[in-house]
Amino acid sequence: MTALIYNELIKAFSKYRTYISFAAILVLLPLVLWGFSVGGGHMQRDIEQQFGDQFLFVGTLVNGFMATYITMNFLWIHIPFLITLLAGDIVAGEGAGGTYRIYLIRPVSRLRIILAKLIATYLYTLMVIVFFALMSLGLGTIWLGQGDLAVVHDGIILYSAADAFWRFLLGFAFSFVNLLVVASLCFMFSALVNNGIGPIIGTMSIMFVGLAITNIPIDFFDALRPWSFTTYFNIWQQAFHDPIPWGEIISGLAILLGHSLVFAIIAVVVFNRKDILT
Amino acid sequence: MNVIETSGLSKSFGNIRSVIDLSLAVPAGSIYGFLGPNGAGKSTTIRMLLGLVKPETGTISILGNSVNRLRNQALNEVGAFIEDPDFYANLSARTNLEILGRLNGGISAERIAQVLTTVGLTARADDRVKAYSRGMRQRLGIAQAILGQPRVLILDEPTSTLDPAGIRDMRHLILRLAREENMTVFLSSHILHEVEQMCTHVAVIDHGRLIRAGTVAELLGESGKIIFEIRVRPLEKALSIISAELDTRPTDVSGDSIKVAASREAIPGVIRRLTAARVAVLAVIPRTSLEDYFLALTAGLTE
Repeated sequence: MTALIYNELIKAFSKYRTYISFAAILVLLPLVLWGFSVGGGHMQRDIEQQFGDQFLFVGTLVNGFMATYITMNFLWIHIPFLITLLAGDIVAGEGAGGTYRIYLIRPVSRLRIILAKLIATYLYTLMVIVFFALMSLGLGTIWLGQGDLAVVHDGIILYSAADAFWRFLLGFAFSFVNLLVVASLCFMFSALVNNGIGPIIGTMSIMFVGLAITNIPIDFFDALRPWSFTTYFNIWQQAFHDPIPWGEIISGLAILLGHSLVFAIIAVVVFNRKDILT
Repeated sequence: MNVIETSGLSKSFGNIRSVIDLSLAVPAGSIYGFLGPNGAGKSTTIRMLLGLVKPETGTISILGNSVNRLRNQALNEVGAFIEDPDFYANLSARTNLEILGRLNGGISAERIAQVLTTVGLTARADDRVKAYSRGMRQRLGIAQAILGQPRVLILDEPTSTLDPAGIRDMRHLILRLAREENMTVFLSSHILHEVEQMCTHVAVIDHGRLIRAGTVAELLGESGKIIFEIRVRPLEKALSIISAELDTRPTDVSGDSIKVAASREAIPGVIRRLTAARVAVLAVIPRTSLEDYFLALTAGLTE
């Protein structure tokens, strides 16, 4: 199985599109951090004006942790789309490219091949989230330094640097589970069609509908909300709640992993039954 | 012993019945030509043999293992390529073969170098495949097919995109593999002249059904009549004698050559009549080809 997964990674990383996610993060996050380093003074003054009568500020709140937290808040909807670049192509791309004609005629079962592709997709997802963590938390703390992290949730919570650090690690782990659902959904679409664009469009469409159900406050959506996996996409934020609501987190993670499992099973079944005609 | 056997194989796509109740038996050591016009069901059959397409009914066995039930065992000693094979274009030929070799349980670097030499791609082995000509890709197709030293080679249109020199090289390569590596070769082709030169056995399918199967010699002798080229002088006088003697019109006339369909038994009488009429008979050459047979068969003219 290791050899099959290795094959998938070699094939994936021979394509330029696989690097787009890393390139986007590589460009975007330093820009954001640069923005914090330039505009951090204003932000600090705004915070002091707003909360100066309640807190005594020593040092600065604008640090690598704050930059990472804010960045995660506005990127958690967009990062999933970067995952689809590989997940959408890894099965369908070979159908479109005609390479199944040389790949699937060998004495290896389709089940093992599709599982290797799925694991490679998950590994890629892990690589993206780790790279995101390195470029936000790693580079952020080097560039802007460490310090306390202020989080607004039922009031203001201040975490020490040590406390903030492990909460970020937890937050990234939860984000990884979020991304697994998107990767699995796109992978499922990839097994259904023979082109690399369809799965991306399909996944984006489902995401848009899901995010609408999650975020638009209409009574009709209330009943649907628990069933939409996008409802649990902000689960990473619960790592910054005090106390951490483990019950909610575990049930949310179980729902996300359940979705991933269903999407993956559909992909495996479809791929095993598929006639290779391209 | 039959290396490949199919029984009652059928496959439809929507309302189109691509393969209908197809039974084949490919003897060990043969070079088996699989012929048919476009859309006859050749590629679908080959895809079913290789497990790419699932048959609706029927069974396939390769080297005694059922493709339906024991696919991996059945394909363990099979090498194949299907129509103008595609590769991972951003990777080199060597890396492509390494990737495919891992599916065969790991192939040594020496074996990869060996197959690259066999197909004449050593000098370009580390170039990206996207820079390859179609002929080079076709040769790489053969390289990946023989990578695992298979006992059975299944080739779908192996010469379809090659120039004449490439076709000749491919023919020599296939014959060499069959002889030296003792492979059974099952190949489909449109180039009937090539099939005739290479194959020991032939099956013809049309509209998904098997029309004929047997050795090349058996099939060519089947109709009783073959095409003879008779070179004579003078031509006009010979034409009238031949037409009268055989009660048929020539299929082709050019220069001092007349091509005519006749039974072997009728030819001595024709020569006697020509010489008696002082027509010089320069040569009598049997010219019946698989192409003639195939065209007659698929046009429904035989029998």
